[in-house]
Amino acid sequence: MKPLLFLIFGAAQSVAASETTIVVATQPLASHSEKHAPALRIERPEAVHAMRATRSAKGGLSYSCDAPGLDFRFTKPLRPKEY
Amino acid sequence: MRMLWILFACLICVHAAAQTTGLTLGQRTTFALPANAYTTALHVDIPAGTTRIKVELDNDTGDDDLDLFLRFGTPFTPLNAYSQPMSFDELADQSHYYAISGGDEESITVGRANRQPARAGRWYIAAISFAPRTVNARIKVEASNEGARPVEFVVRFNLPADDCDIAPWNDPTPAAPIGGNPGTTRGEQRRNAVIESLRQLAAGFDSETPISVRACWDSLPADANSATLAGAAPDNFLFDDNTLVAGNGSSPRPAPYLPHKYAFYASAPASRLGGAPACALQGGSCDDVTDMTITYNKRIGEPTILGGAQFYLGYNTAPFGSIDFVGVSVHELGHGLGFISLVRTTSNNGAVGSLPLDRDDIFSRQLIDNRSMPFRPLTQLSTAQRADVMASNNGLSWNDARAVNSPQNTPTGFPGILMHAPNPIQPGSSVSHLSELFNGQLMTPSLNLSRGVRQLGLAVPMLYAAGWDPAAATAPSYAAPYGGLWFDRDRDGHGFDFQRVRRDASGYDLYTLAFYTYDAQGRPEWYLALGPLIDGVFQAGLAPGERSLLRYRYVAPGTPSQVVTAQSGVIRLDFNQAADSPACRDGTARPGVGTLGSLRFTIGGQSGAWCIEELVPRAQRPAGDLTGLWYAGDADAGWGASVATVARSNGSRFLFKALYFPDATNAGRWAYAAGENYAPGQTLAVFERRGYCRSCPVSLVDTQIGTMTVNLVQPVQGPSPGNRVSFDVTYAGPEGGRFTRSNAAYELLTAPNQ
Repeated sequence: MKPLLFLIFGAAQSVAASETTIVVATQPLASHSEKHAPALRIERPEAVHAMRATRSAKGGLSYSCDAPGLDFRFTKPLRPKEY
Repeated sequence: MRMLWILFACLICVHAAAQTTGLTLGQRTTFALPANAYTTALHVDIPAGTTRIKVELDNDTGDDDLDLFLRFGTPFTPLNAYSQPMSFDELADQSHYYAISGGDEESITVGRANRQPARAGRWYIAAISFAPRTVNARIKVEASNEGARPVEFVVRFNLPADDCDIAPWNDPTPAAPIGGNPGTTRGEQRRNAVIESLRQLAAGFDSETPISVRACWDSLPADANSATLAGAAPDNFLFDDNTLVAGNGSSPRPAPYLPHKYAFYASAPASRLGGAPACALQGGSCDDVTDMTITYNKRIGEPTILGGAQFYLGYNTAPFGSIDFVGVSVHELGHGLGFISLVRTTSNNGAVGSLPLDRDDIFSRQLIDNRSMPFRPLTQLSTAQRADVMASNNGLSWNDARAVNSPQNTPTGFPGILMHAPNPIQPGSSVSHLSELFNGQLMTPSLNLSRGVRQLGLAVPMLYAAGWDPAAATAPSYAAPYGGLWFDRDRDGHGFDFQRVRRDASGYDLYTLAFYTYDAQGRPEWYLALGPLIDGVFQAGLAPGERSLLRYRYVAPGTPSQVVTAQSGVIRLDFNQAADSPACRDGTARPGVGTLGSLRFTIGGQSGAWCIEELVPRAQRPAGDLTGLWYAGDADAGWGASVATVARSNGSRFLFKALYFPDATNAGRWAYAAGENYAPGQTLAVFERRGYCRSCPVSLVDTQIGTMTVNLVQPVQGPSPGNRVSFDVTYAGPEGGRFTRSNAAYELLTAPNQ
């Protein structure tokens, strides 16, 4: 049954490629609509997670992932709410 | 109370059932959207077996801002609870998915692993146009039964900034193909190496939405013996938490596509889960918003840096003395995918062990202190406890079973998956890496033991818990709260009467919420809200004046009370995963508690986030429960009461009643009466309670201000001849005001709680 279903389904898609126009009910958006609620964003410090290489006396390289300045701060519009 | 009058009016006038037009799968459909308008009138029926749904919206009349909203099963309401036009936020609140970039091309793709998975049934669509003129919007829905798609990365080599030099990507210096990298210039080889890194990174992950990566070069710290090679991180974190409030009282928009509330998700998995690119989830332009950024040090290769060592741009293991570009890239980009904890490892912006904004991140939520049983979740520890386990060497483990049971989790002798927790804490390294015991794994803090490793290995199933689970999702079920009194046990004396009124035309239960509380001087005051419960969230409608938590002023019997907009506020109540909300993780013990709600309000520019619970659990409700919101009908509107009854073990009933009435200035006040052995006709003393402001220490003083004779016999909605009340009360504050009724008809405004 399932393959048949998808056969029909697939066919329906292929024949429905034309465009059509409809009329839909609309409403004026509430006047106070404010689209851009405060987005929370991190302030990226210079160093995030960063791979550091250290050269040995023999010229070999070792790698370590760290970032001494790593911290995520968030933009200020948001704050924990305390009444 | 006009509130009740409004309520009752709305019961009658609630907008007609939403009429929606069905779209034909695969067919592009055009419809007109007037300026600054919206429609909720579209749906599409998805056939059985569907595993992927893609909805695309655009227009052909200019570069205007259109937005797209999608939900499964039940329609968007065409108007809000006050029959007002919907706002952008109200539509977003009702969505399961949305795409709200600043452009005119929006797309949502839902797969089988998304929280509301692609499946058969009716999906409803809403669209907004912010264009200043009518636009011809075009929409197309496609459905398929394809398998999950391997994640596709879109690399942006072309987004320069002060800290993002893109010139090295186009370096024309000739180069010979090397290690499988066919590029013939240095710039081309660098780009190829990034693309190869992302190809390796993708192994084991799927996403119906492409993930975007910004690739940069910059001058990073470097000297003869040590140098930063590259760094990466998510560009943003998203979360579903409306208990943060901005200065203007608004909150972050909801993110219902995230499986776990109150936890930060890195942008990349959020885009996957949201079915839309970062710009469409965050808003703004899609020209320069990406999920993560990787920055390479352009000083590498200078003769004085690391002995002149070069990045090795081949795809295979880097030769001795050269720098493994691909290995470094995959590791760092793994952090960008969400292998990253936000628990502070430095004291730059807060104590070590503290959480940004006191919120969890989804990565850290998987971590436990393994040193004692039962294991304690890292995010539920105190800051000092977290700092302690972070420096415990072997005390920090990953606990999610999907990874713990992976064959790649080679035994370390410690529970779960041992994480990197050296003493002292290594900023940027501790917590966000595997223990060094995982020899050969790429996400250890050092790559020395994993030379030539190209894929994330054990980190792949670990990231399942952070938004990358490929398993088909089970459609979520949402909390179903009871109708009755709720309270926050830290705010004794304040309370909420949350009651179902009726089923609205869109098929949602319409609820009213009465908040009986105290003002800054401790005087009793109350507010009302009205809205549908959608997906376990009380979405209080915005009344004219843009407030949802309304303060009323009494006018006269039979005359609607007036909303005092300046004294009104906003409210939102979410019953989903409330135990994880910061409000409910406040350190207060709630043994045996039932359903919890995370409640946020803003009144007078001040906000609060409270954890509320049922005052009278269902099991304690008596037969013939009189619980509900009562009033005297439209002819005597303007006052009323919250009533609750409790079954006693001896078969009797305890009755509590909060009476809402006006003082001499017509401001809304409340008082209470309570008594054991309730029987119709019982006379009770009425007490006015002087309390404490919503952020003040507990202080309660009761003063009797009158009496009340309660004769409630039938908990039926609407008029019932047997229900009567008499009272004579005088507000004790300086405003004064006697308010009386004698044998007034009383009717249950809200649905009976049987």
